[in-house]
Amino acid sequence: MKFSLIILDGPSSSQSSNTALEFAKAAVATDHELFRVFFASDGVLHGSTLNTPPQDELNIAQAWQDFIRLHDVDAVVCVAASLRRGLLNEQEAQRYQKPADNLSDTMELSGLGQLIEATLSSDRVLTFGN
Amino acid sequence: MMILHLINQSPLQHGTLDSCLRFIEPEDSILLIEDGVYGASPHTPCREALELASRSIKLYALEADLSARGLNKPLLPCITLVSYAEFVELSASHDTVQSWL
Repeated sequence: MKFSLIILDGPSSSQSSNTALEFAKAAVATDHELFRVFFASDGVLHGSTLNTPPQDELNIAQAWQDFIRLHDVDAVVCVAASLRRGLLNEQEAQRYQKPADNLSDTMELSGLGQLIEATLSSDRVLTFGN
Repeated sequence: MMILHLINQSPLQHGTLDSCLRFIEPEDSILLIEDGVYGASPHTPCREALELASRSIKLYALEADLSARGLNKPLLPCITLVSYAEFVELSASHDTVQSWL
């Protein structure tokens, strides 16, 4: 069965992205497929390569990026939510003449069309957030 | 249509479990996750409504979230504990999953 997940909360604002990650791990551990993970609203902050929580705490953004890389998951961050929160890839950093980019190479900046396509192409869509 | 309802907020702070219990249909299920697992305690304000609902629907709670909060027991007898793997299977066995945010 194809699942897509929507992540709405930021890495330090609630437990929900951790729940989503554990769900994703359990899904790929059985015969299920993750069609897409869509990060929206504050959830886009999981795409930053600069999150630096204390070393004795779980770095949930890094954990998501590692999972996406390991399982070659299609992961999208909402472009409008990302730009307003200072999450940019190299192309957007150049376009807006910013001094740096910080989007993980595991994720793609894209729009709500990707979310709609995920809802049409997946058997189940689960939303995690508050 | 069989719906799996996800409740992730405590019934002591939010009305999502109470609202969900008003809208639920026979054959639906409710899964309590995150702070929603406070609804599985015998002291939950929704106890009567949950016990009534359990006659026609299934009620589940995520065991990892109960353990993390020290709420494993006592539990309402109408609640079934599930793992993340069972959470995935419940999502697959229902027609759709509704998060009450």
